[in-house]
Amino acid sequence: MRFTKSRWLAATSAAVFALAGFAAQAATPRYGGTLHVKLRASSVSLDPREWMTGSLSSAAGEKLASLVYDRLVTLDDHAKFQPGLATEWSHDATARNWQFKLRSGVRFSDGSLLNPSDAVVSLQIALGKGFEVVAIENGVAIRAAHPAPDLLEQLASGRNFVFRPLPDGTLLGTGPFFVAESIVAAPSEVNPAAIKPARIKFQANEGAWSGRPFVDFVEVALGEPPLRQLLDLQVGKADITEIAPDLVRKGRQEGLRIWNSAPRTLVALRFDDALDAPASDQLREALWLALDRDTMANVLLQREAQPADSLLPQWLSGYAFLFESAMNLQRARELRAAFPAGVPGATQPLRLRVDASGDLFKLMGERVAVNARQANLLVQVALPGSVSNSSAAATGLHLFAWHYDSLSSRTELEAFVKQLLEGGDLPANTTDPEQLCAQERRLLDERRILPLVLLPEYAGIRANVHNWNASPWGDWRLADVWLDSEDPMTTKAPAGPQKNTSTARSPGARP
Amino acid sequence: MQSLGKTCGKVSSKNLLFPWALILIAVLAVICCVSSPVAADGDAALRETAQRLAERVAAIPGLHGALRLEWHPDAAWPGGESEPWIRVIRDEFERRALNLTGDASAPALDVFAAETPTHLVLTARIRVSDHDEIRIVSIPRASLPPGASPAAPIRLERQMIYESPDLILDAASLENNGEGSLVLLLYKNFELVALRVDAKGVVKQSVSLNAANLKPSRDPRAEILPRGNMVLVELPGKACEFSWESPVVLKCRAEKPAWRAETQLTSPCDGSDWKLFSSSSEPNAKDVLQVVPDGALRESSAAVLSEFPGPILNTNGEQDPSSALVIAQNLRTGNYEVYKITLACGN
Amino acid sequence: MTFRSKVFLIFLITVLASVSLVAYGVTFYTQRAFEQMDTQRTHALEVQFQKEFAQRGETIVQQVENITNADVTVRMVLDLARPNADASLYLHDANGAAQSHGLDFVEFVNSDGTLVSSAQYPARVGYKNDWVTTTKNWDATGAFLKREELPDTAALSLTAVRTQTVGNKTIYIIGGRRLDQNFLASLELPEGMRALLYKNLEPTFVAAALTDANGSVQQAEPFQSLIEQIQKQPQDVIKTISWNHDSASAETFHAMPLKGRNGELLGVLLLGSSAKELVLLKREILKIAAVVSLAALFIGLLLSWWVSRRITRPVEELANGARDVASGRWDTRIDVKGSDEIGQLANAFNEMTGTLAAQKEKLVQTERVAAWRELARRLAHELRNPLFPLQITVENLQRARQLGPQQFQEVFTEATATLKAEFANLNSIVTRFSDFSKMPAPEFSKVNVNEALRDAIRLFEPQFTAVGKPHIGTEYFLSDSLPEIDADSDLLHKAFQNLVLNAMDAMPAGGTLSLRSSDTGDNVRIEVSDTGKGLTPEECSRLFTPYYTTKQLGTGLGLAIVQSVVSDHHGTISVSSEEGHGTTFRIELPKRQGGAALKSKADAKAAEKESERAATATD
Repeated sequence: MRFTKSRWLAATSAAVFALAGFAAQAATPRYGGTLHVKLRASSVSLDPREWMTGSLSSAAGEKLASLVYDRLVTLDDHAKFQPGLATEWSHDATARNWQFKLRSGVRFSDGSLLNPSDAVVSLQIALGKGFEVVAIENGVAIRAAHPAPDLLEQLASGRNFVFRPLPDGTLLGTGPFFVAESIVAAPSEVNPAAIKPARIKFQANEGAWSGRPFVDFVEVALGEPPLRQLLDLQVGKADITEIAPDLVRKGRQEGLRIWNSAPRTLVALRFDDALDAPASDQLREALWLALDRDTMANVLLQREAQPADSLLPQWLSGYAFLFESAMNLQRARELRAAFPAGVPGATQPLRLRVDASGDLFKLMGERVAVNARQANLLVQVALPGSVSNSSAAATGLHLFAWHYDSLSSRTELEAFVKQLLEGGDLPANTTDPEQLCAQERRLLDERRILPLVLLPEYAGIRANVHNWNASPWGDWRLADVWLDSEDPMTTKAPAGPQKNTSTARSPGARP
Repeated sequence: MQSLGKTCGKVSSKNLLFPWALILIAVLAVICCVSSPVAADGDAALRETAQRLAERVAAIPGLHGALRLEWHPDAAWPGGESEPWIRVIRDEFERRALNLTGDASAPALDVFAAETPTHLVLTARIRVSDHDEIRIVSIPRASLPPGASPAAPIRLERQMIYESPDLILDAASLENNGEGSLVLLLYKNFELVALRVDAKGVVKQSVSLNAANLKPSRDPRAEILPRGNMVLVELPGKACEFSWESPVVLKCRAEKPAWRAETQLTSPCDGSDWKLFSSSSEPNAKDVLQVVPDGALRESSAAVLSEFPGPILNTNGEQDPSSALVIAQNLRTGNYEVYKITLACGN
Repeated sequence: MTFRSKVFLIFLITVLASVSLVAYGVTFYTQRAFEQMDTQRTHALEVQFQKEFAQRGETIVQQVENITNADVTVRMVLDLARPNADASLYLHDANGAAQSHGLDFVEFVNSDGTLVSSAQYPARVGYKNDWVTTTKNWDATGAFLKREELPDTAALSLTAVRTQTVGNKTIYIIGGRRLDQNFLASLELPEGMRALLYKNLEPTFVAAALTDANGSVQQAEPFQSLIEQIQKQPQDVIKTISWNHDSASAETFHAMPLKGRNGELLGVLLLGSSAKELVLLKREILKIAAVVSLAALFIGLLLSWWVSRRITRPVEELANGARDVASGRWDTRIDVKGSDEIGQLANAFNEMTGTLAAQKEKLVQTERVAAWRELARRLAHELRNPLFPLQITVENLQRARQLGPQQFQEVFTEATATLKAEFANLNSIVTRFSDFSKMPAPEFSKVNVNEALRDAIRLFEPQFTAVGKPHIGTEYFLSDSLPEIDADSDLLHKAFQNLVLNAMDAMPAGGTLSLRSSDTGDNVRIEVSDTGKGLTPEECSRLFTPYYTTKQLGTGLGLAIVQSVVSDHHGTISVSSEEGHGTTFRIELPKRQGGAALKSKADAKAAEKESERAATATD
């Protein structure tokens, strides 16, 4: 049968519809059950104030924090900011003065009402210097020291949650879940040599302003080794697990359903500020030219990563493609041959400290050493926990992982400079991409940071999990997820009203 | 993720969608997706962005002579989405006395469009004397008009090539498949059988694999790998081998099975890699086969879909890299069907 | 040294020498046997190592072949043969293959030499392994030693390479296992032996690269020179290392170079054999030998003493008998039983002494007869001299009777004078003979010899310087420290006087008389020398014979008296003379007489009785 254009379009439309339906719901959502989630981090803090910008552990925290806290605004998949705890917002022409009207009637999980001072306390800490958050009638006003047209991007990402600190140190949230139980890691009763991982159990907030979530509980196990997570997914002991990039292929071979985000982690090298060699510029340049990022991304990481040439990824900045770098081993060797005496990497090895734990980063570190050796540079890898790794004084180079947790290029670049380039010039307060690009180029030209690869986040999702609708930038949106019926892993849930709607859950809707 | 460094080439007007199709898709998008009302000044925002870019480009010192506009859209953009941009940018550039030409010898003025979660970033790059001049502008995506229908730039063709009332576990093309030979693995009455089938679907040879001592199973799994005259059959916990010429001799050895990895296709249009995905989770539901670009950020918008009459049981590659074999059950007839799917260019 | 001592020593030395020889022989042959055994053990261990090495190599080859022929590998080859194949799919396959096949190192290399997957060094994926593509026929090659680069170090690997080809696409499968302490632990080593492995992966000696079955060797420095020697020239070397001052701590190491495929030195196998056993055994042997030697010495001493006593006792008795004979007891008999040579000697001795005794009797008789004849002759000669003038005088007197009274008176006066003189002469002769026969037994007392000599000279000094007589000078060379001796003062004076007289008689034209005395230990020596015309040897031999004289006038008893006195004093007298130069009489007298004094008294009494008997006989 020959397809005519009209029939093709009809089919496509139907497919789109079907897909949309598929994306939103494959069947009628079911309430109840326990969603079992496994994360690699051995510990996680649900206090956004404790998160260190750019750290991998903060990524885990952010995933779980979004279960219990809300933000003023959220960003949907169509580049639109959606109301969260704020229903309306506006700013002046300079984008320095913003007003947010808070949603009324929002309660914390203990039943107390949200008031503007809660937003003030939490957001002031989150936004930090350069912003002043004050309570206004029915809302908050945020005054920026510099124009902040990207304030919404900031508020919709990172640590910018609204919470209420309690006297005992815990935090209350208005999110779809609250923490019901928190168990620290302890030796196993069966095998004392083994450690039972830490667990956090989240319970559905029946009175959540955004609507009761579908599942009754989300049980999160922490500190599971990557391979174990994969196995648990296969045998049904987990519904959603993180999957390490080097296990993605295996997971796909096993027929698992695997989701990936946009690249959210940058693996890069950073030269030690204490490294003050006479020819350190030549050293940095030589190493930069010797690195084979393409092979790292396409071979070592089996195409589950992208070569990184810039500090900010393309999906965040939109201009990262301009930073193309080519490996030039010949030039690297020439630079190396011209090293004066005493430069690390020449006769004495440059110590590369791998700051992130895991086989993947160890492999990256070793690959850097191998690349460097091709250019006659001596690099010695020191792994986390090794004796040599503890001697910072002897280190010249660090391999680190940076997690992008903001949707604002400017905020991310600023955080980069503050955290990693002590003494570096902070980018000018601008959101203009051309200026940001120029600033980024200047930072890259210093060669103090050498980007290597970009890694997406991967998650394995069991077949019984429906409505998985994570954002490309890694927001899992677990409150939208529902589980198949009669899964032996689910626990009995309190009876909830059955939904019979063909539309996706939307904020503001009441069950 | 597709690198934006790739040159997409000139956008042909032949790829324009029908206007009525746009309306239909837009309506569907409204029904299916929650969205805020389309900004009434979406086109104005588009133009304003192009103006800003044009102003910045026109202000590049030393920029003389004719320029060849090269448009590089976002990897996830369908062809139709580029058209208004090209038109407006060209218009604004020309308004600022930038001489745009189609002459291949003219210096290229590359304009890249890239989407971020919140913005569209337009980057113009041009070589001036010995260095590149870069100009970048961005605009919130929310203020832009909605995109065109996500009609796929390529299409999926499919053809059923074999049908059997018995469960087909796997199918593979034989070498010399100019004749269209196919080898199938059937699970018939709890017994495993290998069939060699010609292009017309006629069984040329049938080989019983009872000697493999495969245990009866409700969920049998096996894969077949032709290797010249030899055939390798991957089974749970073992691998067996036989030859078409002496099929009685079946050599088996205990081995951890190395099941096939995901099936990939190569687009005949641009050589890009595409992956096959199916949910395979509902035995009593029709499966939709998704063919998505490898590394695509948003699978949903770039996927090519094909619904099958029942659950998809297995997929396998073909000699032709743009084709693959799909085994599905037809829920209506109960038969098991082998389809050949092929990526083809155009709509 | 006595004969007994000599025999004793000889016997002892013989025993000791035998024991030492036996001990040395045992030690020497034991050591040789030990060394041979050690060499055999080392050789056996070498063979074992070679065998183990080969076996392990075969196992590795088999394991690599298994990987090569596995379906996953075939699938990989098929897949990689496609254009634009994605090699990254197989990044972890080598690790899986290594774990499932029990290998330490596994790598898959593409046909162009690009590393597809590596279990041990995944960071090197994508790099070329040209060494593997240059060899064409890997499938016929066995396992070989290889230096394996690891992320932070290098290791020694026993490696095999196989290929899997599908169509024109080839994949190289490299698999290996570490050659380390676990391999050494698999060797069965006899007691006292150990195996070490040095991984020659650095240009200079690295102590940590030397391992034994338990891991790194603690004291690796002593091996440095050995390793460096092999690094310079890769061939078998043997060296002994002592760990401390005790020789039992020494170990002999047989070092064998381990080479790679291209002949490069990759490792050194050291087979060590402890010298402890041998040294302890040697010590034991020496200890036993010492004990045996001591026992042998003791037994030898006893035996030697007994044997030597048995052997030398008859000889001693013979010697004693000879001494007795020499001392005059010619009737000595030796009581030695046995018919061996010693017994025969003893019998011969007894015969000899019997004969000597008989001969002595005869000799004594003969000498006595001779002495009496000589005495008679001398007496006759002495007496004739004065008798002749007596006869003449009497004849003159007879004739003078014919003369007148005055003439008769003259003749009578002269004749009576002559008769008186000759009767005095006769009296003197008789007196001297009587004196000689009546020489008393000596009575010993402390006598100063020098004084006695001076006294003897003093008596004759006036004659030395008398006018009209030849001048005789005197010289004294007397030892001032000469002790007093046991002597008969009178007899000694008499002897000295006779010697002086004799010397005066020997210097009729004058000369010099020298007197010397000296202490010779147990004796004192007295020498009386003159500067007369000297004596001929015949005169010397008869000098002490009584009545022998060279003088025309003289009884010839003077020197005999001297000899008798000397003999009574148990001394000796000798004479030395040279014609024309003088004569020296040398007397040696013992300082102490002791019991001999009594004996000499008995002898003196016997001699006195003998002379009385002789005198009676002549009468």
